[in-house]
Amino acid sequence: MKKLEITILMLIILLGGFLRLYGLDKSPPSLNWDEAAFGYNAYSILHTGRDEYGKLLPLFTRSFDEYKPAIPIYLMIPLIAILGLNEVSVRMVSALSGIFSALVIFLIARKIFRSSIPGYFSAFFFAISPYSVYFSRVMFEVNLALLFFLLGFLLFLYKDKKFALSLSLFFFILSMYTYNSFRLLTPLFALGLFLLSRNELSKKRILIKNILFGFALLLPMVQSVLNGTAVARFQYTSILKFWPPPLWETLVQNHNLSGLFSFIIHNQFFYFFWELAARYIGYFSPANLFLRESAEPTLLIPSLAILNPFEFIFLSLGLFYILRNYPLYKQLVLLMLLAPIPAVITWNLFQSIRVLPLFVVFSFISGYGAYLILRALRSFSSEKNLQTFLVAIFLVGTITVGLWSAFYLFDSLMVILPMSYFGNWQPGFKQSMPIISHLQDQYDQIIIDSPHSNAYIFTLFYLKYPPEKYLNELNYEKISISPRNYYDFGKFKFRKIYWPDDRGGHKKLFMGTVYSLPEQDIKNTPNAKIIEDIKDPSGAVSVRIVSLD
Amino acid sequence: MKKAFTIFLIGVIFIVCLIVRFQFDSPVTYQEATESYNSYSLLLTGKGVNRERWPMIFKGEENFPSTLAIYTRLPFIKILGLNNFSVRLPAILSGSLSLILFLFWIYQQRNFIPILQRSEGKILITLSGLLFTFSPWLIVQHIFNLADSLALLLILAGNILHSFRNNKTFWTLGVVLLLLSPLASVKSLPFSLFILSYQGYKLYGRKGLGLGLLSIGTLLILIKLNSGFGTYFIRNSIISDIIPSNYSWKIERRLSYDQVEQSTILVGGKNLNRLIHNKYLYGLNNVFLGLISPFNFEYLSSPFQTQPLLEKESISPKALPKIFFLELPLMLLGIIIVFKKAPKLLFLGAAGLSSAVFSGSPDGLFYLLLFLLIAEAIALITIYHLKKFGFTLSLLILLLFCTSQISFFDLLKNHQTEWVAENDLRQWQIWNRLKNPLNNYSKITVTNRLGEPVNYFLFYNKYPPGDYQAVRTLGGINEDLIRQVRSIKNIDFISFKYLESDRKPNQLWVGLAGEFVGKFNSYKDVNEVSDGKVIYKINGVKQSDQYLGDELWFVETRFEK
Repeated sequence: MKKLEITILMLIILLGGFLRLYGLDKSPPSLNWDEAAFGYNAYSILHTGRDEYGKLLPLFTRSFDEYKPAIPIYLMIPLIAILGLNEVSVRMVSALSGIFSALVIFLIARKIFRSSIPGYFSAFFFAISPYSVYFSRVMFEVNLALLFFLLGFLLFLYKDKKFALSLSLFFFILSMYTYNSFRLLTPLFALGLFLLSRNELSKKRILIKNILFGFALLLPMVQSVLNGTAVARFQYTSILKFWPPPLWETLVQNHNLSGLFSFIIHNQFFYFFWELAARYIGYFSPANLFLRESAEPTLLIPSLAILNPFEFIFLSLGLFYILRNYPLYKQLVLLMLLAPIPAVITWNLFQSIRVLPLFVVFSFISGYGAYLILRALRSFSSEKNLQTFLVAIFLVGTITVGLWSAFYLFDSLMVILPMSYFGNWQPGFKQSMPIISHLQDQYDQIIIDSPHSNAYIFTLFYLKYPPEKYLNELNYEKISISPRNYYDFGKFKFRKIYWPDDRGGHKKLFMGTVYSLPEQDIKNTPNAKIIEDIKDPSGAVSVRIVSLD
Repeated sequence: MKKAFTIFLIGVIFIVCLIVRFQFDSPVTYQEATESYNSYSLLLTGKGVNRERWPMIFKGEENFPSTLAIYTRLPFIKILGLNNFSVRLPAILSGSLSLILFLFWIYQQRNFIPILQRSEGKILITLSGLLFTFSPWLIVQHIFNLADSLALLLILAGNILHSFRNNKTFWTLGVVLLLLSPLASVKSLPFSLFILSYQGYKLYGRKGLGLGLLSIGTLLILIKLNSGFGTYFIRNSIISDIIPSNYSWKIERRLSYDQVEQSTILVGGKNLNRLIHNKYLYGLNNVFLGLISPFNFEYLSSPFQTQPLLEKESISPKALPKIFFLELPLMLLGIIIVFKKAPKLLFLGAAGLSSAVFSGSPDGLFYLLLFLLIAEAIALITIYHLKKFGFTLSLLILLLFCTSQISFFDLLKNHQTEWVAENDLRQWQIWNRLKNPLNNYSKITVTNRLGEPVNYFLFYNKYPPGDYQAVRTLGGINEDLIRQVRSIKNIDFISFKYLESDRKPNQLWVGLAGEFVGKFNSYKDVNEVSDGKVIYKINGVKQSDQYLGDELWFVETRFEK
């Protein structure tokens, strides 16, 4: 690569890196329970070689019965060893994945479009896109899976090089081990790539070797599928929740028909197909991509949707030209058409986290769209000065609007998210655990009542509870029941607090809300004392710590 | 013989088009009620509801009813009276007439568009006609929306007349029709402006572009005639997105957040956030957002399936699908083929797009529909001619089309409660229950929390327009400088708190349950209220205020002696 190429790329990476790494512990304002679980399991494996359930070097860890992939956990271990167990070390894997993905996107775009310029644009749009920045700032394993997937794609494009095909296969399969939706998308896309390039993959011996290599890598996955761990999450998210389709039910109730007529007029297969189609089309809807905030609290980017609005023109133009010259960009079109499939078979209407590869395709296409405009401006006039002027205006304009969008996003994440959307991020644990840690030795029991699920994992994480101790204190018989409903360990009890019953004991520490620990009732109990009220940014008490001496 | 067969075929399509649009029993929309009562008023008093004699611009309570829609309905209401049939018949007829003009217009294009000259040209015309006939969006518009139906009819007619280049009378008439279309629907203005400019350019070269200025002149005249129209025009177009007053509050809010939170770019007492939060960049961003807004697939294709998304927006999720799912990829494919094989058709697409973008709402895409239907027909023909799976794919598409169409008609005809707008439905229920209400009670109070009840009352009760103009009481001026009607004789149209209101014997109060008893856990168990009895309930009312419940109550005051 030339010096200029490297400089531009470095600037893009720096910008992307800044947006992803700055204040990683401050925004989002606290960890969600999945992040805490990733972090604590990594911490546990680092110290004991076992996950929180005592399983030795697992491929999937049970966590909240949805069986999390362990690959992100293993990558987190060295970071936790260096930086300690905290928000930054937990989120760093995802953040770095986002940064490296921008580089891979540049390389893929350069290869597909046979020019570096669409690559710069694609990498730039990706580096500042709200979805990528946001998903990089939270430990979403999908971000790592996306990097693996993109590496697989990139290496496939260089399949003529030695070992490129094997490495491509390796990364593709790694993506399957890392996030659920890739378990469906990757095989479909890999098969599609193979079919599109079957004439180029003529060396049968190499092909057979690679197929065998792929099967070998997939064997543990097959085992996990058979015992249900690799598909556990699908049971909670399947679209079969909409069978029979709700609209069909309403129509049948209001308009009773029978026999063949009913089958034709009120056909549940048709309405179910409609549910699927609504989801599929929804992932291409400009309103979802550019206008709507996410309906899912932990995926919500304040005041922004998935992509920056200014990309709309580039995306429309690029999409049009790519579809028009489809034979040249078959791989991109294939990925674009396949990417929504894993999301379509789930019940959510528009779940951005399940279709990240689709958004990456949009970054490619927007990049190409911008390149087309640039190319058109260069040939707009035969006069060199005018050409240069137009190109300069375009570049300055795009970079200015791009930078504005990047800093608007930065402001939304650093200011609006912690201030207005703190409620989506389980407020209170981060601030209260140092107090609990300081006091825990003075009490026989610590009772934690939380409005949030999975309080035990936040306790383990923020207390940095020694994993050896935790594994010794676990009641393996009680936690073997699935879904898990028992979380106590050591002196920590996780249950509802009902003050009229609870006020009778001694040497107990309570952590709850203003509803479970009402101020007046505490004052009326002689040996009870409010130790601390933890307030959220709006000034309301999110956690109350009470001692019973 | 051949000509006779063509006429017969067109006749058959026209009749089918009419039949599928026959839908008279569903409740009138707010727009229909407002427009038709204005027509009724003109017929009986020679004045619109605002006492203006044969006006060019009518002022409604929240909008400007379509001038041409009001005048077009006059003969129908004169002959048939004020009812659903007379209100909808002109829309259905103008929609069906549009079909014939549409077919004729495509036929006219055969000399310019090579694809129409080939053997499949006739199939393309027939297919476009069929898609037009059965398009769910067109069906709905041709039943309920006379304004847009008329605008489309005028644009098609104007366009056809323009093709007679050597006949100046026809050409001028074409210009007049195009200039009239904004009087039918203001959304059509960019469309007609685009077509005028294009036709002018084709005939006179660059000088002909001046014709476009005529359209702008028309608009300025309309604004001059009524200053409120200018406000309305801006409010309903992308212009409102660019005006700083519409987003400066957002800038201030963000800046104030930054102050409170001590943003990282609040450096050394200087607020660098101004670099991000300023009106220039917000304005530019809003332009992009305005461009994107019309392309709302959830609203266009699947309001039933996507309610959770749409409910968060101002768009009502209670609506029939406008475009079937399978049509979207077909339309996209068609556009790509048009670019390659029939680029001259693009002017129609560009014209339609201008209206969509200008309106900044999905409804504006209606004017792009003609182009999209032709594109879809081209895509279907291309698929049919595919060497591999062409026939199978076509058969599958046909099957899906038929199923979608059956489902659509089932919804349209048999499940009105699923798609009729909530306010239209509830007002229809209220005024069906209260026939000649003034004869039975000393005073009636009807809540205005379910739309503006006045126009529905006037329509359903055929209230004498002369009386209405003389006895109505006007309320305050709202933010759009429009004065709302507060009462007519002894009927009040206001939201109320029953317990705090002045109650007298022999009164009827119609409102949401919460307006009578406040927030309550079980409205369904309540049959009596203070000084009154609930004589009728309507259940399942959807409205935004959760404290008011989902029941509509009719309460008669009863005082113990």
